[in-house]
Amino acid sequence: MSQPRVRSIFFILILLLVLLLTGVVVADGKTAPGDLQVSEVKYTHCSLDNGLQIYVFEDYRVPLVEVNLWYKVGSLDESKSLSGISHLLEHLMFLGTKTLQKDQVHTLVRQVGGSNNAETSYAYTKYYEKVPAANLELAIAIEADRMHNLVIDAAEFTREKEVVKQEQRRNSRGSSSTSALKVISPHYDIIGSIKSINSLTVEQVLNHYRRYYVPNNAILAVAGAVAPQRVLELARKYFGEYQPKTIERLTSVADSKAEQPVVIETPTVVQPYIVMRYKLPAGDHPDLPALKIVLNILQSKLSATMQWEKKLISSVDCDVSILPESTQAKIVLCPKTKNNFAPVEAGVDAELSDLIQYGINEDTLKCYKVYFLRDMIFDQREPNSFSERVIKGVILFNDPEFYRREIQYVNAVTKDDLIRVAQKYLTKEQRVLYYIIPPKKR
Amino acid sequence: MKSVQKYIIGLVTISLFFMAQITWAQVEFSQNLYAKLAQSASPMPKIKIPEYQKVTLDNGLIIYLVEDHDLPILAINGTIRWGRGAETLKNAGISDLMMETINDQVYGGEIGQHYQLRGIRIGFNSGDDNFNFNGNALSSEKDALLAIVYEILCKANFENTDEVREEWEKSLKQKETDEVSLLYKYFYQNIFKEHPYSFDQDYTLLLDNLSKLNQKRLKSYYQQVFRPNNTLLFVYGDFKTAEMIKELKNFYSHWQAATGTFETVPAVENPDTFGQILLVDKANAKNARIVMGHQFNHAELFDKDLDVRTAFEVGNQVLGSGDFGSYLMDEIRSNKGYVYDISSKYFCNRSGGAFRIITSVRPDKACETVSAIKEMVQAIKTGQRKLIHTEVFRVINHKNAFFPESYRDKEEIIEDLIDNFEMKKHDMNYLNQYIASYNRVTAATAQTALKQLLFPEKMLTVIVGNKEAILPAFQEANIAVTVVSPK
Repeated sequence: MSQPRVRSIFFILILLLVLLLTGVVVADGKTAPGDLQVSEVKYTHCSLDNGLQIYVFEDYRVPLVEVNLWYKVGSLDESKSLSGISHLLEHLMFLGTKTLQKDQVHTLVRQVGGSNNAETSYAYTKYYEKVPAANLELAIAIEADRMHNLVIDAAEFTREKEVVKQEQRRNSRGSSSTSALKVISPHYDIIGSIKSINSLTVEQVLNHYRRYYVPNNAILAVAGAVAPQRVLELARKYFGEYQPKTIERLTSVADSKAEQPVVIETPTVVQPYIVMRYKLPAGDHPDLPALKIVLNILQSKLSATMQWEKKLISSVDCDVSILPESTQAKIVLCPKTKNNFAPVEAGVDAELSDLIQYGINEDTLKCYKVYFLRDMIFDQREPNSFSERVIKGVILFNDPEFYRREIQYVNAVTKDDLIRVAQKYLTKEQRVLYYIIPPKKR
Repeated sequence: MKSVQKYIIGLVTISLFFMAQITWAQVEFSQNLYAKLAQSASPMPKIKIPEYQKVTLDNGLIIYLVEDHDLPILAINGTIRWGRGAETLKNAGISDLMMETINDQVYGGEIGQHYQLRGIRIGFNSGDDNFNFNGNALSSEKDALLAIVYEILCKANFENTDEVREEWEKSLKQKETDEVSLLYKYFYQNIFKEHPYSFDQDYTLLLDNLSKLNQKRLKSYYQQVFRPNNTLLFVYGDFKTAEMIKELKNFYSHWQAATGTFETVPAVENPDTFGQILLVDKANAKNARIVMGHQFNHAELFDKDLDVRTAFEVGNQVLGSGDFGSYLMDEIRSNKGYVYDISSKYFCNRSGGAFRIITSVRPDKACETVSAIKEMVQAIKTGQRKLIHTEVFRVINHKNAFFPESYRDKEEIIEDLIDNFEMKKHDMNYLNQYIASYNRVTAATAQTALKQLLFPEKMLTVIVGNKEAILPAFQEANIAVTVVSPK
């Protein structure tokens, strides 16, 4: 064979090899750079091909980083029979992987002088490590390992369920409006009941884990003394090979309005509660800020008249719960009488009518706006709490800039808007009324 | 042939290079990997004291000022050299009621709304050894913030006393059914026995006194306590120092100094409580809430010997920081699964303090938990359980890693300086001395400090829970328990 021919064959082979292997690297890692955005504010965003989203909030004042891995799964994703499973899984995520031993996550983090914890909520479960910036890779490695390689030991599963049950007992300090809400919907019960915790099995938990702990259902948010490029490098290295999965979510069931009030008798309360729920538009709707202000005002008014003046109730909570695909207003009252709730309901209706008829003055509205804005500014002292605002916008509305829209909506609210939204959304027709009562003595 | 060989070698080399890329992309998790990633010791931090200005007015008012123009905010914080420690049985609660009334004045009615409109946040609170307040706002509201701080420090009226007292009475009555309130009431009442450090938890005493604490008495107490030669102000944020000093002088130069000093009686141990187990029966409780501890009167020792202070602090973190890896969590949660959380804490005021271990368990596990805790503390005291270097190192390393964050802002550094230098009469550089001291702690010195200052035989145990569920295990173990019904 002549030299030129050998040379040609060699170069063709090289070309083929490069094409082949480059193709494998690209396909294998699915690690071609995603969209790198540099926000005009303070964060950088990109994502891997497998759907893992990455946000980096730079702050070089101290040599620490906080690594947060958010999974978009919480109590809202649980059917009644699996109530508490997301929270139980959160506990089990510290008990070992194929490599890590039980509690070794804590040991490793502490070894470098860091701290760590986790949190389960309605719409997310979050794991975080705060470590010296030099140990960023350790935190990312731990989260990647746990995303893919969790191992559940049967004996530890049983023991950890006892810990969760103890947490459940510890949090139930007598009755509260939170107890009442948990009764209405298990979606509000993040920890679950003793009964539901007892019934959960290893297999169910592993199914839940495999279903939701995937890169396209996760957000990696890093705040601190770290360059975005470094985070991307490490994310590619540790998460790059993981495969995305289709996530099927529970469909929310509309409240039944067939017969009201809905009476629920339960031993989890020792005094009765009246709960009024109002379905609202989605949490990123421009009317939401006005509704929050109305609920705030209503709470003050109900407290002043029905609690202190007329002494019909011993407590009242009014708020708006903003959840993905379902937002609602709740008024939770604890009546002083055990069986005649009509005066309490009439009192709420009267205050709402007053609000609609007379509105509020300009100064009061200004108060709410000023407080909202100053809290945003003070938040900027702490980059990690600011990063939470951004990430919650992503989780709830797929919009990291949601907080900016919220500022605009709040600034735009007028006195007339408050009346309009009260008239439109807080009506008897939109309301589902519950009586949550302790068991009758037989 | 040589050329062919060359080409083949070249091909293989290039292939190996690309193979290496693929291998890099697939991480193998292993103990070696984690060992490599977890090697790090944070250096001992040094906190730089930022530039500040200190001014003392003729009437004794001390003002610290620190400019920071990063954000358009302004904070005015303050400390008053007076505390609940000065109360007696006859006026127990007067400090807290005074502060509640002041806070209500700031937030209630037309005046309150006026300040809320400007986004001003301000709160006053009482401690055992001093009173504090914190106020902040956007710097655009400087005038309003300065005005309200002045109003409260110099001209508070107590016209709203009756309404506030009524509200406070309701909140105190609610504590009668709250498990945690019951727990602390019985614990502090017993270990301190009529010393003022127990008063704020003793809602029965506070309720008894409430009717006697009228507007006239509050005003008189306020005038005794709120005076310039008793007060330190700290102004921080977006302002110009020279202008601010001028404004503050305008406000406060005429504020009259007065005599009188804050005095407390030293706490005396109550030997009746040594080793006692008190069960406060609450029939509908789902949990057994437990606190175990004793008095901790070592302020003088800690002032004199910083190394003993830090050695105990580090040792206590190893014992009961509340984090995974602390002895109590390892034993009672990770091994036994009895609790969700458990920690050991202490405070050390000028006239006394307390060390306590707090947790809550399933009622039928209360006896085992109490015994396990006592055994743990005993083992540390006798040296049967030895602290080891890696555990102590972890605590120190954690402190070194997080200290810079705790003192990231100039505000925090100067507040610490004020507390240490002005209130506790330590050196100006006490913060860095403290850091150097805890970096000197070893397993041996931490163990010695715990041995010296912990007394398992003196621990009082208070449990709040359903006696029907809790008692049987104690009876079976032949452990004496005194049962009380809450009042």
